[in-house]
Amino acid sequence: MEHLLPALELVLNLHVGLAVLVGTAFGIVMGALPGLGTVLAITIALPFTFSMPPAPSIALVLAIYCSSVYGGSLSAILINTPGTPQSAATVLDGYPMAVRGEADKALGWATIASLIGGLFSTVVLVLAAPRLAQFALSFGPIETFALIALALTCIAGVSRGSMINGLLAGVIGLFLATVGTDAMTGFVRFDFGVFDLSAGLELVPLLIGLFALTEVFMRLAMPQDQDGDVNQRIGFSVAPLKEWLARWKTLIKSCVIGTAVGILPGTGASTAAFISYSEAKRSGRYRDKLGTGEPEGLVASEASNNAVTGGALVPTLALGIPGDPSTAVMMSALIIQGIQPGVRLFADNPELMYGSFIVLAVCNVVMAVMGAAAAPMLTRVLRLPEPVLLPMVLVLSIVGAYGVRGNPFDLLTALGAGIIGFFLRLAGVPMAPIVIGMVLGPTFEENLRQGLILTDGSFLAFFSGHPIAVVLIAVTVLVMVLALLGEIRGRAGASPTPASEAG
Amino acid sequence: MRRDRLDLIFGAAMLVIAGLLWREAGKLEAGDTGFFGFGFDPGFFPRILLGFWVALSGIVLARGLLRHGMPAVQAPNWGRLATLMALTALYVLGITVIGFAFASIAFLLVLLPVLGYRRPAVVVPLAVIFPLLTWYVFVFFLQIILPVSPWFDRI
Repeated sequence: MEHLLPALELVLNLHVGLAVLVGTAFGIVMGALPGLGTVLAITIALPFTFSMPPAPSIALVLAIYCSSVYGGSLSAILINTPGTPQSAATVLDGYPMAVRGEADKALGWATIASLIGGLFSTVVLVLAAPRLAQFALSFGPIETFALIALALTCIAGVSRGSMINGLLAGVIGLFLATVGTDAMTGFVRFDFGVFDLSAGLELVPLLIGLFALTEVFMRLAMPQDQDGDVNQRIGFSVAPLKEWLARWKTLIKSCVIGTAVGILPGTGASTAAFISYSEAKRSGRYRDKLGTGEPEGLVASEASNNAVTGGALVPTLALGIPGDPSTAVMMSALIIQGIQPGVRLFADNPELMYGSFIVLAVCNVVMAVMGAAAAPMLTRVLRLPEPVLLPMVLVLSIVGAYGVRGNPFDLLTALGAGIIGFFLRLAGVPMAPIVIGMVLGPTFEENLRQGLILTDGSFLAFFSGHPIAVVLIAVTVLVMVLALLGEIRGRAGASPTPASEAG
Repeated sequence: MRRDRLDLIFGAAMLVIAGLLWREAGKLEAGDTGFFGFGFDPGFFPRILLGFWVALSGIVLARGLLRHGMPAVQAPNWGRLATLMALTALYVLGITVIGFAFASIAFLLVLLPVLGYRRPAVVVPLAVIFPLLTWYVFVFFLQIILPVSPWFDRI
């Protein structure tokens, strides 16, 4: 509590307020536009944070994060196309409501459920993150190594498509992080005689290439389905309290599922939304009507996908381990500001962290208000043709890649990552493990080498006197073995990654 | 293209790349760093990664060889993709030669019609106003210097 007043002082100013407003508006629009989504929205906004102080830049990124998840539900309801994968379950009941002429009610249900989900997970974040960080302070290099190994394996495992491809993507990401000067020996690795590579690959241009450019290439080069009809009567109306009370069990369950799934590495909001939806279909009061335009389906999907936002920030902030691509990009925004997420974060920057929690709660409220007000205007935005929209995204992405440090080499990095990323996606390789591998790579290597120095080079010694590490490594091995068995049985190969999904 | 054939090509390509990187990792000799005898040489971690890389690529390759009749993967419009990538590469090159603003204007003026949007009343104002607005925000608001043209001082 002693950090509350300084935190309030830090965030109660015009710059932070403006960042929340702009970030929320931008996030809603980016979320609503099919195919763009959270990661691209944060990636595009990254360059704008370079010259901002830490508090407004974090506010901007948090606002975009929350609101883009919500924004996806608007297009799911209005045009039968989820703006983000997180809103895929929203389509099932949202669009039938819109077809019945109840788009305003559907938007009301989705908005309020998103608000409640977001606020619930913020409370969990406030309570859990500092305690988890406190617990993780006892982690040495061996435990940290084991934790990152598990996180990377899980992220690769739950990425879309084949887990082997996901693991390979994680290894590629870890390998990319080794390019440049070795922190322990000062030896330059894998620079191939190119001077610009001696300092390593810059993360932001790589992110922009892998997420933004590949997405633009994918959407413009792959045959797309026609968007739905946007000629809906659009407004906003909130259902009476009585109707909400009739669905309170689903609401609470979805908040808990969303937050818990968010905390697990690699799962993400789309998984949470479908788990909640399945649970509502199993135990909901109106389970028989789900899929026909029943608000309970909207409540299940929207409360849980927005509850993921706070949950996913728990391991990101407390352990420095991002659970999904969105939080990986957010983590890089913090690193740009000179703030290293991880176990020391709450000890070193308590005001900023508690300030961020306040901002996150405010973002959820602003998101709901702005969503309600902006719904009618979104019809025009959703009509914007992709050949007009995506070239603008491309220009913003390129300028963002350059803006990190003003080095033209970063433009080549982004372009190269975009082209290679496109072909990797075509081969069914998810992008998320590459980026998360690259973000965690230096810490992973450093802790492995430190751990081996502590044990005189014996990896087997990791398993004696380190019970936490033993458990983590055992789970990692188990996940890997299951993946291999899955590949052998052909289950994973039977459902290859659609080339149009970056997950 | 079918998924199994794609696995074959992808697995083989990954193995070739791993081989090239392994050769490069072999050049990282600990004796040259002055840290010999303590800790681990700089190639230690990359070699572990390459071991996993080879094993996983091998599984992908084997998957491609052993499975037949997998469903086809949706193919891109190759002509459109090549044009898009070439134009983007030219744009990146153009930024360093004629500056961000002029390169962006030219890029949008060409790209929008190539993508099938040919309404001059929209294309021309958009291609001019959007890059200039972006340039203004970055240079004057965010104070991030963008590449300039050889003809003017700031743009």
